[in-house]
Amino acid sequence: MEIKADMQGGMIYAAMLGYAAVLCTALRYPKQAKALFICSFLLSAAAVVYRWRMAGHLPMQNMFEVFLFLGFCIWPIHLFSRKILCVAPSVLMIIDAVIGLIVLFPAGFVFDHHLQFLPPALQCWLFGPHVAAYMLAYIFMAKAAVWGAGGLVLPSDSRRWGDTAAGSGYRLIAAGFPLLTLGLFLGSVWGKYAWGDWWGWDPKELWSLVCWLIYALYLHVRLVWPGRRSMQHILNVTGFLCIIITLLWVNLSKLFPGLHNYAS
Amino acid sequence: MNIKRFMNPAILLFLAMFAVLAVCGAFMGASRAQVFFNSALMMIFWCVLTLFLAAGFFAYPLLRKRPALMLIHLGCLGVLVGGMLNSAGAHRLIARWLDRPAWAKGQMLLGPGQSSAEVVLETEGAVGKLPFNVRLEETFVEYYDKPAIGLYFNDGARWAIAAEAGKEIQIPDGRGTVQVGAVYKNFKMKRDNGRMVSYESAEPGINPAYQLIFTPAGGTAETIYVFERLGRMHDIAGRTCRAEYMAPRMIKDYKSTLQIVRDGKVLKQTTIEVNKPLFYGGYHFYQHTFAEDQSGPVSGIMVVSARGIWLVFSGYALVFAGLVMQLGTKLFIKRTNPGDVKGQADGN
Ligand code: HEM
Repeated sequence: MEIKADMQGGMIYAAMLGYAAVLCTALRYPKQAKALFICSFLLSAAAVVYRWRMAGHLPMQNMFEVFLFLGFCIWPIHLFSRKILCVAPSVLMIIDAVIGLIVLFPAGFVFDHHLQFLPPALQCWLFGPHVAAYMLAYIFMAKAAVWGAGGLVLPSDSRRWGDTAAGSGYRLIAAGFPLLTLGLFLGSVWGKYAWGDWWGWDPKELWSLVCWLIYALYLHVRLVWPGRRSMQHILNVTGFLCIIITLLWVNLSKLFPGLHNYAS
Repeated sequence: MNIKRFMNPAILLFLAMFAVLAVCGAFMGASRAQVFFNSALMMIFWCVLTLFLAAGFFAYPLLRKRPALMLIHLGCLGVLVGGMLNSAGAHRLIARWLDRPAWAKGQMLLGPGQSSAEVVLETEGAVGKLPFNVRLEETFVEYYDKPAIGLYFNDGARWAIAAEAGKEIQIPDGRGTVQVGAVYKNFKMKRDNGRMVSYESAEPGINPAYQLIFTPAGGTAETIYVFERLGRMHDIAGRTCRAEYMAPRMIKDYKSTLQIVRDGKVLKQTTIEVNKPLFYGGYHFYQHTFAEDQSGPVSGIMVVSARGIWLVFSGYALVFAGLVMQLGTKLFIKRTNPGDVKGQADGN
């Protein structure tokens, strides 16, 4: 646990406080909650810009910066989700504030934020878009997994709830899957530039392929067995568990030695 | 109808099998996974998967009729076929069956001024030949930090000054002043009128050194020579401080200027760096390793065949474009019916 007693930490903790306040107010005072949500977004945006200025490069090169960026993505994706989902805005705000709190926690308390020089391989313009595409996709998939888990643990006879859980999960995956593909694509082009291989069989690469395949499987199961909702929910949640493994386990554990370990 | 009944679950089975294999590969570590996924058994898997995907276009008219679905699945086919063409196995088969020189990857080690067409391949020291020569003009490292000279005082205090000729600088705590008076690339000394004097030698050789003029507070100026290559010098009795060269350590980039030479003519010259390879004659040339030995720097150039790579990237682009078309359109329609039950029925 690392408390960041500086400007950077202050911004992160204030944004987290904002998200916590959204949680408390969303159902009763949706207007105030919305204002708080916007404040949290502005604070996390300021934290990203501040880091960018300090580091002198796009802040997506290590785990601290990646989680900081995830926190910044919450509000834009929240707005987008309101357009594509047929769900009450307060419910969406609660889900997104929880996700915001979860992703900012490692940035605020776990990962070291000391500035590092960029190693040569990371000095490629493709690296930023590659990570950004993945991070955006991860937030969509996290939100989809909430509906998937909801569909699994809150089974109901109400057709409306079943439709909402399955439909919302699908739409969020439909938004996230092309981004996941873009992340894989840009990563391959970058790998080709940096290491000479578009695919290196590195554990992190393989886990990201697993995520991609599970969501492809989800899309096909939905077409082949439209009635088997639980199966779809299980794949949705499994896909997200694999994302967590891709994002965290590979970087943090010494289990999978590979090219991507610099990011830890 | 019957074929679809067989193929529908087979699609799911293939995707699931692929996912399971990828999980197994992730637990193996990169090098063992590479061997595993290039093994004969996996070759069969890749071929069957490719044929199955191709068969999908015949079995499901929708894959041909709907442009988005066609792009997605053609793109997947492109990545698979391109990936197989790019693999070491495919290069071996081409070399054996078509009797053409073909290899996937190798290395060249070149010093400045050296030229070669031979590439040491990854497989058992075999050597591949390029249809042209690659000549290394120069190779160097760029650093984030600058070289410096550290002053270590007998009482434990430390101070550093940039290793470049410049002005006299005050050392804190009233310890005196210091100045880098001269910088030498090939330092030598000679006797002149009975005195030893330093000079920049024009003879071949490298001996980088710095002339440091140190004036202790209240004392007289003394000259200290600091050598880049001689490492730590022993303390001199009576002196209050020792000076040492501090090499820059934060590497920013490795670079090599390469020339492509055929029949004595330079066809192309470019400086490659990490993330900026040279593409020529169907091969990519990468800045891979860098070392410095007694005779100077040695650049490790990785040479990789580009066979199939454009197919891989075009395939990726098609998949992405197709997904945006297919799934993107589904995001904004029928929002009032989140279950999208009709959409599912349509899909079949
Ligand atoms: C293993 C070989 C594969 C075959 C034979 C196959 C076949 C099919 C078929 C028949 C459809 C149904 C079209 C429809 O009824 O609407 C479909 C849909 C689709 N496939 Fe595949 N597919 C394969 C692999 C993949 C892979 C690897 C991907 C990954 C990108 C993929 C992505 C999709 C998508 C995104 C859809 C549309 C899903 C939707 O609209 O919700 N397919 N595929």
